[in-house]
Amino acid sequence: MDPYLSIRALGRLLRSGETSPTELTRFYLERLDSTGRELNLVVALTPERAEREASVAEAELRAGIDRGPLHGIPYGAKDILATIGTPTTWGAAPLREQTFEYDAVAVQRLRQAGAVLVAKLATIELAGGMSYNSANAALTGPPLNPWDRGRWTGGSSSGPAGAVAAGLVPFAIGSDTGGSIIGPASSTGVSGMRPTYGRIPRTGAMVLAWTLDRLGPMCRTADDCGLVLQAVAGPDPGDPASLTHPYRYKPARLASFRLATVPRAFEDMPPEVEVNFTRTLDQFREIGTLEEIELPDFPYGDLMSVILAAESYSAFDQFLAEGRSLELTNPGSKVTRLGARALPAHVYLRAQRIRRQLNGAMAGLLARYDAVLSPASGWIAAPVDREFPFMGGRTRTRSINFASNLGGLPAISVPNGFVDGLPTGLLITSRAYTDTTLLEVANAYQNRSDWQQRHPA
Amino acid sequence: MTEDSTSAAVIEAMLAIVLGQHGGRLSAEQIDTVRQAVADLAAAGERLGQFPLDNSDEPVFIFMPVEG
Repeated sequence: MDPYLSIRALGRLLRSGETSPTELTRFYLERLDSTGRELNLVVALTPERAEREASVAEAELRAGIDRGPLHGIPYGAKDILATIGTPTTWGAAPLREQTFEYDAVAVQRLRQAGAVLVAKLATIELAGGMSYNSANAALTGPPLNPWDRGRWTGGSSSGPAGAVAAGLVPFAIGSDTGGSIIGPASSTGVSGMRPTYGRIPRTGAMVLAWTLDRLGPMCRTADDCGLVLQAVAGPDPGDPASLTHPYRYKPARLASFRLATVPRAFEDMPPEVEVNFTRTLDQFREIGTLEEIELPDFPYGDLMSVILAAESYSAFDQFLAEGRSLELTNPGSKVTRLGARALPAHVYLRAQRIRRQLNGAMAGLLARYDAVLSPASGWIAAPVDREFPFMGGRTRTRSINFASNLGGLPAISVPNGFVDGLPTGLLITSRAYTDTTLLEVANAYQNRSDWQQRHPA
Repeated sequence: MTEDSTSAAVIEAMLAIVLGQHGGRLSAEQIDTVRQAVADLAAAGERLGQFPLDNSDEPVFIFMPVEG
C-alpha cells in the first residue's frame, strides 16, 4: 500500500475493492503507532472507534451506500477538537486528562461523510496561544519534521502537518489563528488551507481568539482540501460566526486567472526561498496575468498582537487566574500571556476599529484579482533544539498572511520546492468567500508541478 | 513609536496590575518575561493610537440585538 495516495486515489481503490476501510484503517494506525510516535506527532490513537467507524463504512460501501469521497478514508484531528471517548488535551500537560462528552461538529460531519477518525494529533500547547519560543512547547515533545528529524514541523498544527507529510494519514483537520495551518504546511510540504472565516463551524474546538480562529483541512493536494472542506463546511447554530449558506466544491477553471504578487513579503527571507518563489511565478504566467501590488499601510503586526493577546487572555482567564499556565511546558507559554491582563479595553477596541478599515482596504485591493501569490514563510523548518529567532521580532511588516488572518480571507499553502532537502511553501490568498477560486488556482498550479508528489524517505 | 519611547512608569504600572494577581507565583526571571510582554503590548497600543480614526469608525464586529 502506498501511504501517500490522495483521497481521490484511495476512493478509487475502495470502490474497486482493491482495499477496504478496515484495511486502510489498520494500515494507517500501524504507521501512526510507529513512525507517528517516533516523530512526536500523536497524542492518542483511537483504534476502537476507528475499527467501529471503518466497519460501518465497509458495510455501507458493500451495500451500495456511498457517502461521497471521504467514505472509508482514515483521518486525524488536531487535539483541540473534542472527541467522545478520548482525552482532548489541547496539547497542554495540565489538561492531559480533559474529556468531553461530545464530538466537535467538524468531527461529527466527517463521521457523517463516512470518514474514520484514527488519531488525535499533536498541537503546540493551547494552539500556541500563550506565546512560545521553541519546538518543545507540546505535550508530546517537539514535533519532528519527517523531512529531517532535526527540524521542527512548524506549529501549532504540528501533528496534522507532520502526519500528512509522513504518510500517516491521508488528511487531517488543523486550526489557524495567526498562521497555524499555513506555517506547518509550508514547513512539511503539504497542502494546508484555512478557508474563509466562518466556513467551518468551530463548535467543539478549543477557543483561542474568537475573531481569528479557523479550522481547515491539511492534505496532500489542494483538490483533497476541497473535498474535505465540502464535508465539514456549512452553518451550525453552535458557532455564531459560522456562515449561513452551505458550501459546494465544484472546481472548473484551470487557467485565465488574474493574479497578483506581493514583493518583499518577508524581511530577511533566505535567498533560496526567493528563488523558489520566482520560479513558481514563471509557472503562473502560463495560466494567467500577474501584477505586483503593494499592501496598504496598516499596523498589521500590532493589530494581530493586541487582538490575539486580549481574546486569548479572555478565553483562558480562569486558567490563567488559577496559575495553571505555570504548568505548561515552554517557559514563554508559562507567563508571557499574563501581560495581557494589563491591556486596556480601549486598545483592543481601537485595534478592532482599525481592523475594519484594513479589511475594507484589502477588499478593494483584491477585487481585481482571483488570488495573491507570496511565499508562505520567510524561513524554512527551524532546528528543534534552538529557540526561534523569529517569533517576536517581525511583527511590524506589511504581511499578506496577517491581512488574511485579520480579514478572514481564504488562503492555502502548497509546496513549491525545496531548500537543502526541506520544503518551501507558496501562499495563495483570495477574496473572502471565494474558496473555490482559491482552490482552482492551487489545483492549476499542482497540475503543473509535482512537488506534492514528493515524500520523505 | 518604539518600545523605548513607552514610558517606563506606564510599563511598571501595567506590570503591577499583572503582579497583583500573579506576582507571588513568579520567579524574577518570569517577572522579566512578563515585563517584556507588557512593554511589547504597551508599545503596540501606542502605535495603534497613532492610526487616524473618526469618531464614527466602528469595530469590526457589530452588536446585534437578539430577536425574542
